[in-house]
Amino acid sequence: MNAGQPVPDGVEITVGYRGIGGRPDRLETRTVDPKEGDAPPWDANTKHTFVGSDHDRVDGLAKATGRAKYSYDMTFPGMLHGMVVRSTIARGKLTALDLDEAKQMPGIAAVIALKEVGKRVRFVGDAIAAIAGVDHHRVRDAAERIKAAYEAQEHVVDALQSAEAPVVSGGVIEDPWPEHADLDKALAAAKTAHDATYRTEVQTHSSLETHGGVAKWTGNDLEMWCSTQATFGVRGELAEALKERGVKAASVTVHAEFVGGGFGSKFGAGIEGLACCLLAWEAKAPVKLMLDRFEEHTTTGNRPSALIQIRAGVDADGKLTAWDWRSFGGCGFNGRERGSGGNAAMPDYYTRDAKVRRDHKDLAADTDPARPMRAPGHPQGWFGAELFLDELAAKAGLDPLEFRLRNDAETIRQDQWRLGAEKFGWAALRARKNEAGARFVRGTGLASARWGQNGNPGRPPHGITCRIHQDGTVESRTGAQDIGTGLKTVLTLLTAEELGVDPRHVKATAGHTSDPSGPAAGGSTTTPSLAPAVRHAAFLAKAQLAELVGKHLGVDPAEIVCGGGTIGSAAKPMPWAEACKLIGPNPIEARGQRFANYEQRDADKKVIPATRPFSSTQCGCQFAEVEVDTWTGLVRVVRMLGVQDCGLVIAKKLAESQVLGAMIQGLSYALHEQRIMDATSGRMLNGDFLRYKIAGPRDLPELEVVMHSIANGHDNVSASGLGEPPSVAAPAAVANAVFHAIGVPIRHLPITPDKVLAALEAKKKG
Amino acid sequence: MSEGIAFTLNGERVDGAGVDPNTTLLHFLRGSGRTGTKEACAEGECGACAVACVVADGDARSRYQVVNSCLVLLPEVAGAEVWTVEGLRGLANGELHPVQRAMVEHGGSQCGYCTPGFVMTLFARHYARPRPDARSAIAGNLCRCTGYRAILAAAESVSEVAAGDPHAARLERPAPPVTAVRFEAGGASYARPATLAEALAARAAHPDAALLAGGTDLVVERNQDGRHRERWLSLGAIPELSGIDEQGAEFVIGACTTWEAIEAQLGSRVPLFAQLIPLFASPLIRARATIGGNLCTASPVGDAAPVLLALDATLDVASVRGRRRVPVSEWFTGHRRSALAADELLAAVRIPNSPPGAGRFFKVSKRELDDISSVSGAFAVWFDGGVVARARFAYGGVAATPVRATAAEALLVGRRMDAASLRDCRAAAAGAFAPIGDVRASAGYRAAMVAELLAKLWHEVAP
Ligand SMILES: Cc1cc2nc3c(=O)[nH]c(=O)nc-3n(C[C@H](O)[C@H](O)[C@H](O)COP(=O)(O)OP(=O)(O)OC[C@H]3O[C@@H](n4cnc5c(N)ncnc54)[C@H](O)[C@@H]3O)c2cc1C
Ligand code: FES
Ligand code: FES
Repeated sequence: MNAGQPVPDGVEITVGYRGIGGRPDRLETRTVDPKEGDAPPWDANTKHTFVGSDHDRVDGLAKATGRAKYSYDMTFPGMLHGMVVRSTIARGKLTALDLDEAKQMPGIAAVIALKEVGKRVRFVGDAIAAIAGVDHHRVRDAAERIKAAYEAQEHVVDALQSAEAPVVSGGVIEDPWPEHADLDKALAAAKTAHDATYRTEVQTHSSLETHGGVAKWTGNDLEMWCSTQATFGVRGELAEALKERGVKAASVTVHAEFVGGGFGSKFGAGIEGLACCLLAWEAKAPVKLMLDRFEEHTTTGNRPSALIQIRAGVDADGKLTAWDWRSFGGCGFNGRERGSGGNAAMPDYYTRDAKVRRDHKDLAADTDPARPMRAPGHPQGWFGAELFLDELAAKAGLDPLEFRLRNDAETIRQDQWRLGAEKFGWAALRARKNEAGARFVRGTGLASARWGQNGNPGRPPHGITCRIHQDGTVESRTGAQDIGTGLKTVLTLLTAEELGVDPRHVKATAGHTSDPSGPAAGGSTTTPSLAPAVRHAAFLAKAQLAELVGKHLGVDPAEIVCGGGTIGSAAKPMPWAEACKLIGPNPIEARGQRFANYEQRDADKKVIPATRPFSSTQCGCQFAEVEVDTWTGLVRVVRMLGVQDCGLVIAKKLAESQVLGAMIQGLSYALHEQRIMDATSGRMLNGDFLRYKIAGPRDLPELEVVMHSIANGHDNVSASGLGEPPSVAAPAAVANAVFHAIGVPIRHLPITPDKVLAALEAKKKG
Repeated sequence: MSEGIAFTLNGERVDGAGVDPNTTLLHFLRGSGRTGTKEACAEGECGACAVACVVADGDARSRYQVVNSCLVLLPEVAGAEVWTVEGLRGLANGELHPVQRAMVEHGGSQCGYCTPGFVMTLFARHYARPRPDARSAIAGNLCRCTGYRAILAAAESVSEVAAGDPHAARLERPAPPVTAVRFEAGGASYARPATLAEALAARAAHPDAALLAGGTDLVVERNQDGRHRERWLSLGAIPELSGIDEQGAEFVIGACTTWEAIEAQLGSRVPLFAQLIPLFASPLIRARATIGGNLCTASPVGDAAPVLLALDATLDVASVRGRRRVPVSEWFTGHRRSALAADELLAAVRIPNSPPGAGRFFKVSKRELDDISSVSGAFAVWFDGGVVARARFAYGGVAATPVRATAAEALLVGRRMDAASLRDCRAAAAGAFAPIGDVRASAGYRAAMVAELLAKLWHEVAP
């Protein structure tokens, strides 16, 4: 075998899906180039036993019994408690820092500076110093003895008040559009044109487990239990930051076996993680440092706010001919500290035939910098774009669905729109009229979703270890973390499928950097990045076992097959447990690798361009029905439906949960979530869960999802991630439903009761 | 009088002697390695810290009550029986409890950080008679990942309590009594006297002591400011202060009666309470939060005040100097200030047992449920024939204190509730207050609600 080289002539597979919504099958034959020695590709015709089943989450039991240990839960004898001392001003310079008195306080083991005197203070809550002591009270008391002096400068915490912000009045951008000959011409020629401005507010990730961890030194060896979505990233970051103390990357181990959510905010150790390690070093004792809810809201990043203006026009056929977009993102301090800045993304599949311009600018302010948050840039951008489309459709006298169907360039979503509309009862709901003067009015809306990231091989390639033990149990291990997306369940089911053994025999482990390297849990790439390596590892381990079994049975190992809990030749199947007894005390161990995504060719041997279906993007659409109380302005979401391309579904219940959770997060963003800053102090006014509301159980509408399983032919599994894709459409769908219900668009999220009443009032006045 | 703070945890005796009384039950549990119970907000909002306590259900039986352990100081559970997620089991040892099994099978976890809290809430619901509907039961638990559907499905799938269920057997016996406690540790003292006289004496001797009822305001404040209180006086063991009595033409509600108890005992007698309580916080908070604490916090958006104003309640205030009565309309003296003197306790709330012909409580918040009010309004109207004999329009959230719109009330007396009287009352109420805007609502929205809620009242009750 020539491992790592492409199989000569490639392999033919079938990609796509069987028809949905009464539409034809979308199946295509493609030639792909698997590597020699890799597990052969699965495709649309593969029949699975465990993959796609409704198997329970493998660590559900540990979670339901409280046995799952999160970083927040790690406890060691002699462990101290750490805390970060933070700036009280939003902008300026640290001019003096006196830690001596704090060091003398009883029960205090370490006090360190985190900011040098003379350095810039960037926002309220910027880290200044850190303390470790025997309990919370003493640490708090000592914190009060730290004397920090600042040279305060005037601050701006509202991005729209920053020097670079456009002039906005009455919710509309006043600055004229820059000239653009082609666009101007197209707009002038349009049958119907529209121009409007949209706004969204800062949203915090609000993971239930806050940031932080526990650090423990043994000599120069560091172990850190960190609430992170990037174990390897944290290790690299800590080793780099600690190298002056003689710490080597090889002697840093990061653990994140259970992580209480991240949503994009936990890619690094952060200043709190580093402080925790430094305090533990200084105090010569393990230190736990977890942020409190206020710190979590105010210092660990957020989804930036957005200001978006769109103007566009359609021709007599309702086709978009011109699309002009400018957006501004409130990205906090300088916009470049860790992460995605203020980007507001824009759908491009409606405007493939139109003249298009897109312009984006980040607006800095003296607040906590933005970080990636579930589909960075998308929910805010799609809210603007999709509400704009509904307004334009209304002007052009078109039904919103019809308008989408005429403009949407993506085949997959064309099918999804129709299926979703049928399931949701779109036509009937849109035809329904609210009684004139009724207190409660209903409306229905829809919106599209797109996500464009695939799995990646990693550099160096991601790996998986698979071990088969003589008692028949199997291990599948990754050093990457499972933040709740279900990575361990994915490892279990794929391994079981490949080996033909019951998932009960497989134990999956994730989240220790002592295991093979894997990706950060971001961009919905973890599952599609690791799944092929899981199969590869199991495939290689199986080959080793086949070797032993073949020898034992006197059969050529190439004839050995496994499945249904047996392994052997067709004539002489051996029970799995019997076969494994051949292994001996040292397990079979194989290291699987993530190869590059396949190059796909069509029947004419031409490489498939990225725009072809199943090639690069994941499509979806969502529908929402709302009820608005026109007296109080309260909006209640009554029903939602999501249709989501989810690649090959590996674990059905888990995948569904991802989509449902994203829909509720979107509802929450549409109706409740908003960081409110005090202009004077620069402090967040609602930095808790009492006043920063996230959706609760009673917000839950009737929810339905259609898991649209598509073999994408990217690799030997065809999996997709599901963190981001379903979180793009929901806010826009809700906003469109509110527009339909009350007849006026609310162009500023969240849609709070006061905005609804004001809009109704304005409508009354005409 | 107990000197220590021993209690029963998952069926085993645990001794908290030497633990600073400022420590919450949550921190005690987690600090001693029992980390199944999670911390996520320390403010009673998320329910990740939920634990179940065995409390009285009549004299002979008991029931499980879930509470937010982040808001319970450790000494508050002295003598109590507490269950955490680690202690649950099925029919046989080592078997999963039915609600745990349901959560696993329905996929109720993603990251799982919220799961133990949901499990405890569902555990208590499992044994409740009657079982509350699942959605209301879990209203005090937050999950950022799952979208709740699977958790609800898990809740709804759980069958009746099986014969031989070990946790059910416990409920056939009385709950442990709440006894007097006094102890000191870590430079702080904690006292929970069993009589009002002792409490008043302690209050007089140390007016600066942190005075604890349900702790749902006070412990949140403590968790947030992190300050170490040196002296705690708990009102939790004084029979005179809790419970409801019907005395002549009045209901007398002990100041330390919880909202949960008020709902159970008075819900059917005082319809305004029946309307208010389901909108008040979550079941977990209502299990601890008291009516007296709500009044003594004197928040302009506290929910008790408008209802009590509408019902012309009076308050019994006690001190070593004696007792006095304060009409609730004179209770609030400024933003978060009340008429309570430093040595006094609020002892009881008296409500005349003369139910209005129509009563409505409206709570307007940013979201429909489980939220602090932006504006609340309680309205009571007594009729004489077709015309109004007396009217009370009371609001929270429109001024520094809860207030009545007295001019509008007066306008309605002697008239019918018709379009003309609505117009007049709206006009009178609209200009009566100058609310301020804050994180919950703008000033304009609040002002609009003053009149809007009257319209709502007319719409719902006008004959
Ligand atoms: C998550 C959450 C949600 C909430 N939702 C609501 C809501 O919807 N509506 C609402 O109105 N409130 C709400 N609250 C606030 C709180 O629950 C109520 O105000 C509650 O009634 C307070 O009662 P308590 O017994 O817990 O008070 P405690 O916290 O024990 O005491 C509050 C204050 O009153 C004093 N005090 C208590 N009892 C007496 C007494 N008998 N004599 C003298 N002083 C006394 C205490 O010293 C303290 O200063 C919420 C709180 C939380 C944490
Ligand atoms: S920790 Fe959130 S309610 Fe207790
Ligand atoms: S599963 Fe993550 S918070 Fe509920």
